[in-house]
Amino acid sequence: MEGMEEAQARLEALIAAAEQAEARVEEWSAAEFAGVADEGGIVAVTDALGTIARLEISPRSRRRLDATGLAAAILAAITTAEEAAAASRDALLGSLHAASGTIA
Amino acid sequence: MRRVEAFAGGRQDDVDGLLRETDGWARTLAGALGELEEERLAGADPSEVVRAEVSGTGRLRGLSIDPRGLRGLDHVQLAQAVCEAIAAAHLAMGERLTQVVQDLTGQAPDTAGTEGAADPLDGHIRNVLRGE
Repeated sequence: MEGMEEAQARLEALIAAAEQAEARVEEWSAAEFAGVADEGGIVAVTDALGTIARLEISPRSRRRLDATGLAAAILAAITTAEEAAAASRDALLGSLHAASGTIA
Repeated sequence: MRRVEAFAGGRQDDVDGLLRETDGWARTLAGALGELEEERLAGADPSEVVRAEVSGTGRLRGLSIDPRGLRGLDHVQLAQAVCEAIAAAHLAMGERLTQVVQDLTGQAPDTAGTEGAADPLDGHIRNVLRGE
């Protein structure tokens, strides 16, 4: 009987961990990540996978920067947003890995 | 004969061999993904004012704007052109990725659809379902 109870407790822990993991993944997948350049004049937003969702260029940045400056600032904003998305994904995978390790 | 084919054919004794084979596939895939990160795929907006370069894993690595073409774009149109250039580069990346996967699985493009993408363990699963 003791064995059954232990198995039951393990199963319940497993289900609880799976539910937590599901909630974490859901929260992560709805998240957006932003990167800013030229003192806030350029804002890039990506989804959780790092794909660009929005890019806003202020009229001021458009006037103030030349083609090279604009390309560099836009690249910087998008790269920052992409890196934030990648860091969030790595943190999520790390936490899921740690959670699965505690059950075994 | 590959282990996975032997396994699917009902010879299930060589599990170690099967694991070694799948291990090899995982290493090959990891290697291919590592090489993709080093690759550069390019795309441009329809007017070719903005050019974007992405890595094989989709990260933006380079952006250039043609100064002459830029004169005709306001801040909203420029943002739109940047997004279009990145989308075009991502399309090129998708095609490259398809090619890499086809090379890894040894499938010709025209058989990669429904039947060509058949699960190699399909035979084994059918045997199990039949209770054998």
